[in-house]
Amino acid sequence: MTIETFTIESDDVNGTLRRVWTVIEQRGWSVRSLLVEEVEGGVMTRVQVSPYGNNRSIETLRLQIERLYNVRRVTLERRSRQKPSRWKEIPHAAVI
Amino acid sequence: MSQTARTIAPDAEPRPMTGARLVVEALVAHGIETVFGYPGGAIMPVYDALPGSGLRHILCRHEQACAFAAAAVGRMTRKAGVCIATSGPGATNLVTGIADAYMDSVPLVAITGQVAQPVMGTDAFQEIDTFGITMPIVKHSYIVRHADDIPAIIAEAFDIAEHGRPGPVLIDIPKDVQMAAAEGGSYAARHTPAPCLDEEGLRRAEAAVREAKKPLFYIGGGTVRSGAVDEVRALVARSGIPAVSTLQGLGVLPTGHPQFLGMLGMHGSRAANMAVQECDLLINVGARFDDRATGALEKFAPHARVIHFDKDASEISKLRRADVPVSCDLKPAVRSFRPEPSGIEPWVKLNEERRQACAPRYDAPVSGIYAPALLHRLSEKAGDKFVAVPDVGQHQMWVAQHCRFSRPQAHITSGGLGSMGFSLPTAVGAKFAEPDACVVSISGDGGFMMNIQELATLRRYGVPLKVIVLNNSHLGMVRQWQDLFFEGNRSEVDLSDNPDFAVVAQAFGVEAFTIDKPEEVEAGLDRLLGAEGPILMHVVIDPNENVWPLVAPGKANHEMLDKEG
Repeated sequence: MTIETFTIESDDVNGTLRRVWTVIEQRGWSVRSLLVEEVEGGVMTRVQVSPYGNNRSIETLRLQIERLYNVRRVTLERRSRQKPSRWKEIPHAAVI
Repeated sequence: MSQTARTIAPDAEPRPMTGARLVVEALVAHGIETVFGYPGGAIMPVYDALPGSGLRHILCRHEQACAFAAAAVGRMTRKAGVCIATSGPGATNLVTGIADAYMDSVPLVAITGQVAQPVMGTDAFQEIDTFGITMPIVKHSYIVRHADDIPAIIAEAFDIAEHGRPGPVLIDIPKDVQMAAAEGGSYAARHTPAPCLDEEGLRRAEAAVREAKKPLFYIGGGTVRSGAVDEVRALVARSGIPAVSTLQGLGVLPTGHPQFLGMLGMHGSRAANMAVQECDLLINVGARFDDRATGALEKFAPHARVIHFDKDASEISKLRRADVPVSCDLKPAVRSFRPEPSGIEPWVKLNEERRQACAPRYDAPVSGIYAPALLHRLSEKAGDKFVAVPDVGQHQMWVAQHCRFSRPQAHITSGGLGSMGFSLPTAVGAKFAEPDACVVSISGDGGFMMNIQELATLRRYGVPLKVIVLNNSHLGMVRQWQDLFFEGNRSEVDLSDNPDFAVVAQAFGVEAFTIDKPEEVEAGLDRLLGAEGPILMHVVIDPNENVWPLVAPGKANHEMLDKEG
């Protein structure tokens, strides 16, 4: 399984997270983990995704998220072939 | 058009400012003159604010029709049209029209009422999560939480809908927000972002053209949405390179243009599809490699390098990898693109010969009225003011193949979503957007029944629309596919119990008549085009006529089936 990790910088407005999640699922990817935190002037989201089936371009998905209004920038962080290990892959997340 | 369209004089007495009044005033401030809507409980404060606002409200007879009609304004003018509906079923009825606009990148602002905030989330009467339901089919959306935000949100909604890659924007307004006292807002002026230009991509594209011996333009609807039609026409002319177009790109080059080989794809022209399969450089301008255009993607343009011009970077290399991506505004990009091909004369000559050899003919013997010939003749007689608004199905492809289009706005069609029921309400919107145009709604008997209630809108406002119903008593395209690919197992496609459409139209108060013989076509078209008010021509056609050529599923575009098999 290919796991991709994005960092998404967005405005802190109604529906942004839901919109991002919708695009990911709509475009043939599964959300494996998600962390959202408020940062100065907006929201930082780190999300791990894996594709349904083959032939999905992560760069296309990155651009499809980035074109959303209220999304400022999407950065592809790293790729692994490991199964996501819940929150510990995201270093500063606290397990509640 | 009839003056019963309700333009209401301004009120003499000032009324308190509310969220609802801000909605109406913001629309007026943005130059909106006409909105298409249908009232209901959760949007009543906005309707209360309409009289005296100066906004003309067109009451369609179904919310889906409101959305199609408003989107037609965007399709004709590139400025967002506005539709209004109540919460719950009003909003869900808009969904098909909003999705249609999304798929074809059409600017649209949809305003919906919502139940009051204190009861949101309680399954209140006519409560539905409009924001969530529409999320995958809008460019952006809002739930308005404070009345004072309304002017800014509406200003932003138009900006988003019309700029960049256009699309629909939804504004969901809870009833308490509509009723709340509000400050008179300031209406932010629309901003126009500075166009971007990919100079490096352009120079690489020019180098690719210099190396090519068989270059071909592949023109899509993005050229229309970005207002780059004149620039593309000039580019094609100065380059001498042949061109094909998608369904949405028809009219960018006028029918009969010597370099234009026709529409590519599933029901494209043989000349266009052969050129695509043989070219060594495909120059995509505002198209998106849609599956109806490409056929089997892995077999599409197998020898070609690809240059892809698109405003939306996420479209580039989404389906077919671009060797030369040019991601920027199309209008300045096309203007700056200076291709200098050399040694392409044999390629140009080959395509010109094919274009002439593959031109459609209308002299083959058929039983009854031959719809392609009727449509061809219609567009010839209607002239440059002709605007064809087909529905979806066989007749849609016949319109694309056989009508003459002088400009892209002459062909308003549901491309991406393929929505049956599209034609009649869209034609209503197109006629309001361009009253001088000769707008002709062309439906099959299946699609016409899906929004037949809009005959009442024609009657109510005296919309001088021409309506053609091509009646083959079947869901023709499905029937054709069942015959060709499902061993002739005709399942649920028989519509022979249709009503008499001419009688139905007359019952709505619309002039109507029926023709069913080839010798009646000429006089029928004359009567249709000469009518001063709304008129419907019911045309009985051969139920077994098919759309040719056809690229079967999984096949390459050059593997076309034709009438002889």
